[in-house]
Amino acid sequence: MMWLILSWVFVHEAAPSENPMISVGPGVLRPFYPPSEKEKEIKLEAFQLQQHAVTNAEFLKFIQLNSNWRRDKVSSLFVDSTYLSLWETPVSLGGKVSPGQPVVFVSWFASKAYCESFGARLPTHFEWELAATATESLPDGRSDIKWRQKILDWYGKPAPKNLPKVMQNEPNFWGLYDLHGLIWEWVQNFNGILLSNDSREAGGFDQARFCGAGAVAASEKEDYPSFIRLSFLSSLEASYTTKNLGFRCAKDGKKGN
Amino acid sequence: MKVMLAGLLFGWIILARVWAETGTASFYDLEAQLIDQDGKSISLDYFRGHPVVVTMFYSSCPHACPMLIARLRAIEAKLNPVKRLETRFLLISFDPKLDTPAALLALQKRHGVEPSRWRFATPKLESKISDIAAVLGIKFRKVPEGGFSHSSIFGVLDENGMIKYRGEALQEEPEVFIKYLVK
Repeated sequence: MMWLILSWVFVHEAAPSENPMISVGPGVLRPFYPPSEKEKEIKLEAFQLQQHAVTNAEFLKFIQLNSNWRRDKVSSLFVDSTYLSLWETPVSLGGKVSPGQPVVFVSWFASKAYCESFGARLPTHFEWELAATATESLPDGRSDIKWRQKILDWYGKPAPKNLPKVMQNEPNFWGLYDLHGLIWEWVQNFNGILLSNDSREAGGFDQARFCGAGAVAASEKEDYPSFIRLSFLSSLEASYTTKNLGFRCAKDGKKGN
Repeated sequence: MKVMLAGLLFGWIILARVWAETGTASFYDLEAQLIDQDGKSISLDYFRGHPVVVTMFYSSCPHACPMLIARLRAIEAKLNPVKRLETRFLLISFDPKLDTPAALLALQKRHGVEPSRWRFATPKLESKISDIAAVLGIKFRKVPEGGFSHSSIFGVLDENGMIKYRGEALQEEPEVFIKYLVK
């Protein structure tokens, strides 16, 4: 009974108005590594994604309402030892970080719990990639070599000592900010992306896809940024936290849109 | 109503606090509710107090999952009689749609395992499936033509749910898991 009431309380909390859900798609994604022959083109329904990465201020509010996610209270099953380590105390930001910066040093579990606290979820990898193929003016800019180079340049640079605040750059075609150039972001299925169908039989993870002849399976070979993201995400465990990894939440598309 | 809700919330926060202060990372911190092969609602820590081997599967899986169960039975068979009576096996499904209690019960009967020591179960909340998989280090993906692509991992839990070991179910010998069960 208590759980029923609690879930009612959480689900009916409104999405934070300072970081609204933006409608994305529908669209067709040609994934870098199609998981199977039948999945070279993925048709995605329209969905919603938060305008920008979740900030320190937003995550602090969540912590104040859900003290079981405080860094001094949470089970080490869900976070590693650097969780929220830039914050001065478990319940305040202090001087080293600003409220408008994206929250980093958050685990997949913590990100997922944040989104679920207002009835949202993390985006799937395909959803995130679809949103991220948009340039400032086009829904799919992956053939734009200049734009792709700009993203690659960011991946090539070391992370700045102090992260910029969110929304300092132009929004993309959908109205989303900072999918590139600020931080890496968690996705719902970060650990299942590289599973081929064959692993139903082998029970294994397709290591060969990373390198050498295995990369022949890639269909969008020029989309190197997507490959970098895949490799990075696949290297994570759900409790990991790092200095440039944050998240934003998603929801299914509104019916009738 | 609001006051009552706030009270409940507060109570829950206090409970959560006490829980975390034990300072251990238990599998049972996940607090998931499951439906087992008898249609009963059980919590994830149903086997608290026992050493447990836990894994994930789905019953319509053609090849890997029968092997998974065969492996678990091999582990059970190789335990000494005392440990065998103590040890429990928890198999959690990826597939809430097809793995109804009836399907799970049929699976238990087909494999002839002892129901008091073996639970086949499906999480009540679908969002808990990825949580459980993540804690066990199991990678999985729903395949469009049906079924799931997944890695096969056995987790060995102690009496309090502490994860003693996670290993490749189909590649490591039963003795490896037994070593952690009897520790």
